[in-house]
Amino acid sequence: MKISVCGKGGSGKSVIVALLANQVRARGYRVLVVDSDESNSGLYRMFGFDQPPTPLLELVGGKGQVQQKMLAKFSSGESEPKMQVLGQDRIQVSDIPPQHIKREDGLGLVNVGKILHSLEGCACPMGVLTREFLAKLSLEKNEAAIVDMEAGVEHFGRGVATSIDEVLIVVEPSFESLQLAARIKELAADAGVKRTSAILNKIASDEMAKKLKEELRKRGLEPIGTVRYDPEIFQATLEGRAPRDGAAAEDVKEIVDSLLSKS
Amino acid sequence: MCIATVYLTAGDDNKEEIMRDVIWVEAADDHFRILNMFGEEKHLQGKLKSIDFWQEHAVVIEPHPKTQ
Repeated sequence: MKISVCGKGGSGKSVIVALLANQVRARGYRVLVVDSDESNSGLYRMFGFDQPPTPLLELVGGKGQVQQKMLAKFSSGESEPKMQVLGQDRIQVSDIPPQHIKREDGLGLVNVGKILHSLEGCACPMGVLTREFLAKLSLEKNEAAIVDMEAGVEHFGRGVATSIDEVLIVVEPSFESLQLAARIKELAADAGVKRTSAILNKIASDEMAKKLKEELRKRGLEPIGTVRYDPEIFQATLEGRAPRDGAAAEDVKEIVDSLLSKS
Repeated sequence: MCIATVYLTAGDDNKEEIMRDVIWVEAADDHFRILNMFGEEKHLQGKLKSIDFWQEHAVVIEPHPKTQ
């Protein structure tokens, strides 16, 4: 099962990815988290790692040097062993070279690549790589992949969603977030995604949840869960560490029940 | 998306996709050398017909007419 977590910037996608991954793992699955947000660099901290894995983009030489390395390779006629994993028809989690995956107790974390420098150019290579990696990623029955997608909708234009089983839209209490959720639903349907669902995040009261659910239903989306505002999440993200169990982690259990029941 | 797809024209208004995710097109002596992000390389003979930077991000190459 491949789940893509989408939504407006700042809606809490990365936190939800971390909480989902922990809960899915707690149900006995092995979870591969794919960090496909080329802007935010701190997802690894939410899993307690002290360093991110080497970006998958390095498998094709890295964005900055991609042409020079590839051209050199072609000129010399030599093969590039690291690229072979991407040349495979199917990629299993065990195929991912060790430096490109952080592992701990049923969890794997890969990172497609980040924009690190000004004037570096666009993020299209990351989008292409995410699309190819997810399309080739072959999961066992007891494995799940959870993708922390870049904010917004550009990834749909790059075809990243074509091999995703479920798009999970994270909605925070704002008009823009609701509008974007409706747009994502349309784009996911156009991309042929089998299922799209929404969850509410950072919810401060029952009244707020009720109002947002009504707004989502008006936009043709039925939320499968509500994650309460949780001071522990604020504290964890402020300190750059893994979130501890709290109200948000508790709320995500119900969402995981819903996601796994459909898989 | 800025990464290109290379096509070869194939009759009226038709074009055949030759390679996608292309990051390099090089005019060699008598052909174009085309590389994609994943290490594939192809060589095409023909002349450059168009490059669409705006919508399709397509490089279209027209084959040389067949000589009798």
